[in-house]
Amino acid sequence: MFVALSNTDPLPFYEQIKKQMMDQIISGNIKAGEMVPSIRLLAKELGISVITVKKAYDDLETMGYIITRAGKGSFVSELGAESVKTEKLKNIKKVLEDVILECRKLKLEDKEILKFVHEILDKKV
Amino acid sequence: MFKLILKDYRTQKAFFGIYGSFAIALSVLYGYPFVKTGKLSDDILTQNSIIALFIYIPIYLLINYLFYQDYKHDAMKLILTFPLNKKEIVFSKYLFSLILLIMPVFVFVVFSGVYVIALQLSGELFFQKLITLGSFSFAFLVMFSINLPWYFKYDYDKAIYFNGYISTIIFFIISPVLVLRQLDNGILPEYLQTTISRLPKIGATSIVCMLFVSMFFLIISIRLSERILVKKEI
Amino acid sequence: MYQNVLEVNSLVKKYGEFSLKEVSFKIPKGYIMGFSGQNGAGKSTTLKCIMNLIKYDSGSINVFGLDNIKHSTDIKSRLGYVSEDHYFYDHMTVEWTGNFVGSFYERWEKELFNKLLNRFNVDKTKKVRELSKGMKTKLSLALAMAHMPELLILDEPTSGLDPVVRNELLEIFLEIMQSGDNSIFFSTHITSDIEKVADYITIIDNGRVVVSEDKDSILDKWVVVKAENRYLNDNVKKSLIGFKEGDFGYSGITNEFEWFKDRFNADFPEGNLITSRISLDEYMLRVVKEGGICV
Repeated sequence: MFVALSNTDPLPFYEQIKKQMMDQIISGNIKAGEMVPSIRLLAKELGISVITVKKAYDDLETMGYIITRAGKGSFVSELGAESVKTEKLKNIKKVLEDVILECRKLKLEDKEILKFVHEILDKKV
Repeated sequence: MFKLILKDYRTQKAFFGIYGSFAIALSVLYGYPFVKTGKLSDDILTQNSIIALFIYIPIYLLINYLFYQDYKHDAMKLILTFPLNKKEIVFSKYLFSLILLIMPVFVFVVFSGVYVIALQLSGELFFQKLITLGSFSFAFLVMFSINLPWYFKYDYDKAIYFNGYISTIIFFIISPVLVLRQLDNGILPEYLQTTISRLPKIGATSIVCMLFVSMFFLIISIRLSERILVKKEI
Repeated sequence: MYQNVLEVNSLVKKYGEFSLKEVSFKIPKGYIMGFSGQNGAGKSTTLKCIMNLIKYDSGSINVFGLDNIKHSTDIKSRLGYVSEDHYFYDHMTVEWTGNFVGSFYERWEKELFNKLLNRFNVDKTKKVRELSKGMKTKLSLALAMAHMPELLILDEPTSGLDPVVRNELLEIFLEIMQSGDNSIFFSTHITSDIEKVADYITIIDNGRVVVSEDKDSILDKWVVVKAENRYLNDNVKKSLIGFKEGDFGYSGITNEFEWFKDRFNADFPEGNLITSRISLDEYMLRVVKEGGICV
């Protein structure tokens, strides 16, 4: 796991932590079931207050990304990662649908649409 | 509390060595019967008194020195952060100092016993010496009771004005009176003689009375010191 | 057990010209609070009241949920105190000092004391007067920690120490806090130290508590904005606190960044804003002192 706080970002620290952890959970950098650092350890490593980290973890838990088991630590929840991924996939599907609709409006054929898609994939964007 | 009582000993071992040995040596010496028989002459009594004085003065100076060391190392500031009752702090100081004051009497009695048994002498000489020693104990106990609250109330450098100078003056007025009362006559001019002869001669009952009086002074002194320390701000 | 390890309520103490005016704050169990203020603001006085070394005129102080005067002895056995001036018997060794101090505490652990001395690199055979100031502070800390206190009260523990030693101490504080069972209350006028380790801050100025909150709540609220001088007008100036204008640009502080950004972009659509998080120093100087903000 990697968290780096920025002093120039006007976002409060707990928001920054949340965002970075969320991104890593969704992208799979931190796998489901993997343990995340304890609140106190993370606070010490980042040089920030325990309360801030606690706020971030509490929010992440409410949103379903992590689960805290008393005495054991905090772990990435299976459900959380999954459901967020599903949510994101839903969004991606919708965006693709809109794009394809636009293409059809321009009277493009399926073959041509696929050519565009392959071009972009080949560019390895 | 026990640890607190020993604190002074543990931190000032060197001085204990010097002063303590001196006082004990004198107590042993004091007990030694230089004159074995016959009536007690005034010279001997005076001699005895002066030796007794030399026993107590180092001990009294040691007690004052211990207070000075406390002041120098800010001991009170350290000790007040410990989980100790303020009454304990006061009491342990008194107890330790009292042990130091009473010690010569104790040593003297022990060695008297040794001399009486070993040299097979009568106890009368020793009894006289004990009375002299007892009178001095009384004088020192009273002075001690008056001095100590000052050490609790003020820093050493302020307290020493009263405790050092004034007490010494008072002491050097009382002691000669005690000493000279034991003597029958001769040394003093007429007018002082009549005054002194009005004082009761110090015998066994007087000593016991003096003991009670000094107890009384001590108890008041302890109460006063406790109240001072409880109110004190660091 | 108890929720707040330390509670100070409306503490009043008059000291001639200076007085503590209704000082109040609390520390929940398991957190560090930094107590900051200028020299002479009342930090030491407050700490001495908590330790029952001074009598206070009114108010109440509870440590571990107990009144600090009635249960003074019990409280003192459960807390570790490091005073601003270290009081030692200089001519005695470190080891002797440990034995001496330890004899007054039931929960004293000699092995822990030795372990701490090793960690702090303090030679236990040395006499106390041979130690440097940093070493003496570390010794005081070891003495305070070795009887497993639930709360550590430290009066200016880092003052007079060079940055390397200061950092060491702060690291040690954070290590102590890892278990979640300990709490620390330390006073200092070096705000960067508080910024590095504290969870809560209480700022005292002239005997009065100006702020008492969790550190990041304060620092999250305020944003420092900087821009070129050509993007300055009266509107912008008025909406910033602690305003500073220089040859190479101006800067100011706001607690309503989004609103400010909108106004700025409205007035100067082509203008650039540089933002940064406010530091505790800047907060105390520009918001509290200059801005006169009393939260």
